[in-house]
Parts: sequence; C-alpha cells; structure tokens
Amino acid sequence: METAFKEVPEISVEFDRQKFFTGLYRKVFPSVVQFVRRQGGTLDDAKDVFHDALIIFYEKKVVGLALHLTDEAYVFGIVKHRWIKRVKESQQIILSEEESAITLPEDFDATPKTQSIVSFLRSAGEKCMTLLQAFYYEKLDMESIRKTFGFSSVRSATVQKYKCLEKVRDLVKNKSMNYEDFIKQA
Amino acid sequence: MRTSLSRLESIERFVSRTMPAEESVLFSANLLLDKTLVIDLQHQHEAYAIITMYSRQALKTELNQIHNGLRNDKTFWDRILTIYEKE
Repeated sequence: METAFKEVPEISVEFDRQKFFTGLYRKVFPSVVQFVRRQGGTLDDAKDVFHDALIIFYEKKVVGLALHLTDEAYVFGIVKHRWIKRVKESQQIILSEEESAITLPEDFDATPKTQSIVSFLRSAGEKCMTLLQAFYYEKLDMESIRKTFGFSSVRSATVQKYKCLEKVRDLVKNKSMNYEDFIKQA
Repeated sequence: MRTSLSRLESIERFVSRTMPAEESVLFSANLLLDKTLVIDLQHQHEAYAIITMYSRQALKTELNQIHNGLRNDKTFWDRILTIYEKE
C-alpha cells in the first residue's frame, strides 16, 4: 500500500485543478472514447476508466514524480492499464515499452470495509476530511493549510489535523471491533 | 496537545521517517513490548488509506462535474459522439 506522506510537491495551493483536468479532458478523452469503443466498451466505460486514469496521474503529479512521457501519453497509458485490469485480458492490447513501465497504485480500488467508512465520512465528516485531504493527499504544507482554513497559527492547524485523524482512526478501530465481534458470534 | 494526539503524532513521525534516529530505535523497541502500540500503528495506517480513498472519491465528484460541463459544450460533445458512433 502506498503511504500518504509528503515528498516534493508539484501541486501548490494556487494550482487550478479544474483547469488542469479540463485541459486533459479536451486533449485525451476523444482518444479514450475511440480506444474503449474499439474494445467493445460503452461511453460510460470510457468515462469511468478515464476518471481513474486522471486521478492516478494527478497523484503522480502531486508527489512530483518525473514522467517519461508527455502528460497526454501518460494518461492514455494509464487508461490502457486500467482497461486491461477491468476486462482481465491483455492479449488484444499492445503496450509500448514506455506504457509498460507505468505503475499503478495497488490499493486504488476500495475494499468493502474501506468503502463503508468512506461513505459514512462523505455524509458525516466533510470539514475534517477536507483538511486531511489537503495535508495527506494534496500534500499542502501546514502554513498553506493554516491560510486556506483560517487557523490562527500553524500549531492550532496541526492540533486540529490530529483531532481529525483521530476521528478517522477511531472509526477504523470501531469497524475492526465490530468485525471481530461479528466473527466471534459466527 | 493531549496524550492521545501526541501518540498519533509520534506514530506519524515514525511511519513518515521524520523521527530522529535515537527516538526511532526507542519506538521500535516499544513496538516489541507494547501490543496496543502495534494495533494503534495498524489502525493509523488504515486511517491514511481511508483518507486517500476519500480524496479519490472527492476527485471523482469533481471529474463528474467537469464531464457534465463538457457535455454542454456542443462542439466538443458532438466530436465525442461522432467518434463513438463511427467506431
């Protein structure tokens, strides 16, 4: 499992994510539709696999990973990998040497346990989760987080970050306990 | 910071390798002696995975909004439909 710790961030607080994604959408999505259609997929399949690819690509950008292809070619390479995983057959899809070198996160697809906690947090913990997302996922530094979220000091932002992390950790703990209780009862 | 938060902070510094070497050795020794610390470490790892998964789903929501926005761009969307229907 990939850990969520800070390396060299390429995405700053001023980064315009919507512009970034929209630009890639216009450039790459037509080729993705063509590829997925040729593989027998639907327009919705193309959208799903493209969204996965954009998220994986974004994560690589966030940690400042040096890429050996253009952004467009890299995203398309990820699409191919995700499609192979989706249809579980790779013989009809040819990957170039550069595309074969692309690695995807092993933990990309949520497990049922993770999904149930995430679904709960989406409805019950948005404020905390936005803060945690900014630090652990977007890799913003604490000073940027202090400014963005309006904390009086980095220290108070840090304390709040740990309080939020504690909430998520406790949810994980409680879910584990419930699961263990369930196993004991079975 | 209260004790439970300090423990979270220590675990985070250990797993992110930002803990000084001497403290890290001591922490590793504690992991051998304190089973609750091992469980807390495991739960904290799971919490990081949850944050990653939550963030990915938040991005998917943003991407769906962009997708729906582009569907209203007639030139772009006609091009998509043409490609789809031609193949």
